[in-house]
Amino acid sequence: MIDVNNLVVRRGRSTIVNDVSCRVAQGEIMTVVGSNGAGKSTFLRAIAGDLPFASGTIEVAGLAVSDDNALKLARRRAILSQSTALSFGFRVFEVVQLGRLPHASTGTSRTGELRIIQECLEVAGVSHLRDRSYPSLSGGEQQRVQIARALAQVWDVAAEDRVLLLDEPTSALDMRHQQGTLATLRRLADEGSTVLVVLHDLNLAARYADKCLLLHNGMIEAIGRPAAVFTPNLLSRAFGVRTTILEHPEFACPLIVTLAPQKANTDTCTPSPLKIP
Amino acid sequence: MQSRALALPSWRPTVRVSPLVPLLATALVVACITSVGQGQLAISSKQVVAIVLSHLFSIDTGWHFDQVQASVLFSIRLPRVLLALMVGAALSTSGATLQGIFRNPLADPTLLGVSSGAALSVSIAMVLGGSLVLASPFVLPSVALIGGLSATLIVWRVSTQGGKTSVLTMLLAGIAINALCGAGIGLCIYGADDAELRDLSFWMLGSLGGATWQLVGAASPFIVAALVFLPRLARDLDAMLLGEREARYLGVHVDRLRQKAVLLTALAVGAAVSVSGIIGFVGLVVPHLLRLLIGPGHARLLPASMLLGGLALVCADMVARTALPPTDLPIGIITALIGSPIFLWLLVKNRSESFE
Repeated sequence: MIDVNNLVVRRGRSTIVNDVSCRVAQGEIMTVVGSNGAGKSTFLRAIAGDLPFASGTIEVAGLAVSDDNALKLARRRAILSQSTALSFGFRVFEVVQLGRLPHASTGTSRTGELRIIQECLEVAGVSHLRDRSYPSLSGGEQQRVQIARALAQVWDVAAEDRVLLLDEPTSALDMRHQQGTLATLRRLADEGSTVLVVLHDLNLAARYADKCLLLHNGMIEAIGRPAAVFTPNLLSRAFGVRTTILEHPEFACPLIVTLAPQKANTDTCTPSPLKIP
Repeated sequence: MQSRALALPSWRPTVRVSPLVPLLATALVVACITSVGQGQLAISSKQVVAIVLSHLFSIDTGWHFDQVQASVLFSIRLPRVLLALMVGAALSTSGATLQGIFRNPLADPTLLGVSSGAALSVSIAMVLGGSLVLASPFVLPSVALIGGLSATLIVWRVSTQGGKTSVLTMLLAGIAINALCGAGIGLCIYGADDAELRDLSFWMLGSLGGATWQLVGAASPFIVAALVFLPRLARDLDAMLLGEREARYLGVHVDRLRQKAVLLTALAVGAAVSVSGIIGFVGLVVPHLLRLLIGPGHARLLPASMLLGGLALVCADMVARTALPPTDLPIGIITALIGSPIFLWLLVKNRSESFE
């Protein structure tokens, strides 16, 4: 469970996240969507305990987010950052093994550890790469290895206590692996885990999320079921893009289709027309 | 499907037990025995073993040796080889640790200025301290610790912003520190008398020429403490390679880890510098080569660095003593002669991957 109350995060004099409250229950996936610079990553990093916040409270898996709880938190919640720069030549297997670090002193048997790592490699679709050197992988493969590492961190935690925070886990993935990754998250949520994921692909969000948080300039523009949040009006305000919402041919979820740019009558980011002399 | 079914048992451990550690350990013992036998008075390996066994364990092997050989071995050769061993282990393990904590394969006690910071503080203490320095054998290593620690902290402060270390700034800061300390040692030279002058030039080039049991005794508590505690940081250092933020997400107390690592490396490097001066390239090249052989995991890298670092300096010292008899070359010259080409080769080899 994630519980955020009146969160304010400032950097210097600018307020990046302004008075955001939300709650992600066990068994739920909440996606955070919004334009570039809307405060999505900052919001996620604050929940991760990585950024000091000016006011408000954050509770993750029943624990207050603070340095004192760092190890306890690390045993229940895993975080996937937007990008991870690892230039040292670890093998894929060893990278995923690093995810097991918080459990080093909890006495899981060596065979148990190896099985967890292998299961996570398989779920993330990278078991065939297990002995490859990490820097030699493609960007998408590296991202899947990092997903496997994040999963390994909480794989053997009771599902109700398990929390996953992911910042654009699908940014470098192809269509198949995007769907595969979200399907894995859906399965974990159905078991009782709590998942918070920042996504750019609204259709992925619409298809898999229970709840969407639409951020705009650090504030909540809308929060609720995908069908309630993804409306032409709200999306136009948050992204400055004209859209129409169709019915998905197979699933009971909205299908967002972008249309031609809207006329320059909104205050949000409007692409200026190219001037050709 | 078939290939998948075949692939399933693969979760069984494929962790290869590296044969490198026993190999290095054996090589180290052989190198030590060979090295103590080299010099103007030759002692064969057989005699070395016989002398050590008869003196330490009163075991009579029946192999012949004379008393002069025994006393040369114990009072001159053995402390020197032991010192080479300790200094090599200290420098290369510190190099490996600094590279982990800076997340950068170019961090090295000499390049970062840790060694010259320690050398400067030792030089100042020797010129200004007079008899105070001789009061206790532990004075110089302690003074060196302070100098090394200050240098590391300055480089860290200058090159790191928001948890990100800029390699370029780190190396340039190291150059600045090295230049500053060089100037400081130069000033000390002006204030020094003849005997001090010889000592000071010895700091700049690095030498094991002054090795005595007293020096071994002075440096060993510092170095042994660092070498015992550094490997305990191995798992946390591994996490640091993912990035400071990721390490924190994994429950690593990053600030505390950094404090421990910086303190322990300053302890080891400071003690090494206080007994042997500035010896370059060991801390850079040894961990580099080992990473190529056994990967970057610190649980294996740190112990292997101790062994290979010790081995490297024992061999370099043997060359220093025997290459141009009867002169005793400063060992820093040997390590630079061998280390810098290897370093250049590594740079060329890694040119494709940026060090950013």
